[in-house]
Amino acid sequence: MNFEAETFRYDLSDLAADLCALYGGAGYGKYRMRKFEEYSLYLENKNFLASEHVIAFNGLDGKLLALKPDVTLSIVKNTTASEEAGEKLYYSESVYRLDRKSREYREIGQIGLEMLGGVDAVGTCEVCALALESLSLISERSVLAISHMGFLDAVFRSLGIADSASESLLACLGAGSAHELLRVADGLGLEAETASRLAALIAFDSDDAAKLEAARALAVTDEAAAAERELETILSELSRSGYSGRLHLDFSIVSDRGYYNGIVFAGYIDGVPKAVLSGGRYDRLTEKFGKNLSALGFAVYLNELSYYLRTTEEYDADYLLLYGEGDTPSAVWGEAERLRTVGSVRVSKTVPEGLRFREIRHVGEVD
Amino acid sequence: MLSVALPKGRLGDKVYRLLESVGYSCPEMLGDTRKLVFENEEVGIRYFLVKPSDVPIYVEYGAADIGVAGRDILLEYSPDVHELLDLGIGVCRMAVAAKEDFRDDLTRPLRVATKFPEIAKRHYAARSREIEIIKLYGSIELAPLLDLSDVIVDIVETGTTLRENHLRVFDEILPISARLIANPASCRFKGEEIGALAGKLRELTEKK
Repeated sequence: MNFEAETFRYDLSDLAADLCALYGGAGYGKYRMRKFEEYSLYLENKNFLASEHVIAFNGLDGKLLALKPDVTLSIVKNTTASEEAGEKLYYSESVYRLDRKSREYREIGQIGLEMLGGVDAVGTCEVCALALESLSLISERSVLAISHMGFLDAVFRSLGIADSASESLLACLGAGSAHELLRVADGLGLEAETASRLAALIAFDSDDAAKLEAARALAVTDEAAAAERELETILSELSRSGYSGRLHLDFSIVSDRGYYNGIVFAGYIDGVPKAVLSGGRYDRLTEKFGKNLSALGFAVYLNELSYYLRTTEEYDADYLLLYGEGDTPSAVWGEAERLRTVGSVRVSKTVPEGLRFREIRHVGEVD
Repeated sequence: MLSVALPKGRLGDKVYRLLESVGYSCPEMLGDTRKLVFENEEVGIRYFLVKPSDVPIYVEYGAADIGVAGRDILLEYSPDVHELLDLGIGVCRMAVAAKEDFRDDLTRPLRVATKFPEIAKRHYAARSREIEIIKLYGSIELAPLLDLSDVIVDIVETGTTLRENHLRVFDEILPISARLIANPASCRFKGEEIGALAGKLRELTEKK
């Protein structure tokens, strides 16, 4: 893939500023938080986190604290929003997580937004549209893949599949593995027709229409049918709003059902091998905090992009201005100032080793 | 252009023959060459041969759009890839084997020699059996013979090596076969090309 990968000319800090401007422009207020929280917050909600490992330390009062591995938990814990008086927030924060592959802690730049309270069809489409707009800021060649945990949950319940068994089915869905799903479904004693409909949700040769058809056929309860209709509404409304072709139904996007109860989505950029955005509806998380609050949000993972955004300039500076023994500081500074009107300038007595400059000038040569 | 990571060796050769038979040929693959990347622009395919355990890494990080890896490797490393197809080749099983007269001593942890520590850990954790993993990189069968370990967790194809060394299978963990895997982002941007290739391979495997 990298052979043809698009090289994105975008500085991460510019992208962060543009994302913040996008969310601020949509009326989301900036949320600021300290770098650490009480460790118990993460311990009690470890399944919500990408990894249960957090960097913990003792506060001066003896309380066990942790460098925050997540922002959403803090927002949900502290929000005063209600269904009637909702909050719309965005954040740009560093989080500290264990990298699954390297087994090292990493500081990760994360920007995201949360809609807390009053999440209806308009709000849901607004958040999805902002996710799509976020991806557009990086590249037009981007897609948002959307699924629905509430739908899958309702279907599994209607089929009488126990939670532990449905985890195996979810694992197959998450791996996009229709053949394994058929095997697991067979082991669970599901009818062949039901199993093939479940497999059609993720089959590599199913398009959105075929997936919707399979979803409709699986939605035999009111709950599942409502979830399926919600997906259809989002797809058609956003298609009408000009996002046609960039939003796809994709049941391989799965999240923890203990927290996510509705739509879940992930954003991809052509040339970046992993999702750069993920989010979903997480009313079950707010329930765990004793709040009867609908909630929907997403985060953009800047670290995933950092390897693919072209941030390295061709030159270390546009000009290298060399001065000699006889040149006065004011003469050197004056010439450097004149050059700075047309590019970046590094002043040096000798040519620095290993650095590249578009042009080397000597004091006295500047026009 | 689809980039395909193939495992070096017999399995890779078999997979290439399959792909060749459904129209994804790349004649220079068959020559005696030290090239690492083989390309056929006409059919829009690029192959590279890598160590079998590295295939999922190339696919996960997007250096390859698709690849072929054994289920053993996928379960051991749990890469973030989509598993599109069971190719039905490279069929074998992951099993627990030990000396023919082996009896489990439940008063102490079981010493398990293996190339697949994650699979072994999961297998014994499900049985609440405490184990000590001895990670080896080859000649696993030697470990119980020299009392380095009590048992081994390894791939068993025909069982000949086990029999010749007076070892036998005590427990089957899971069946193994080669899987067609794809990078999740590639599936979203090259879905048609990947789907066409996977569809042709599926037809072929179903015929067999």
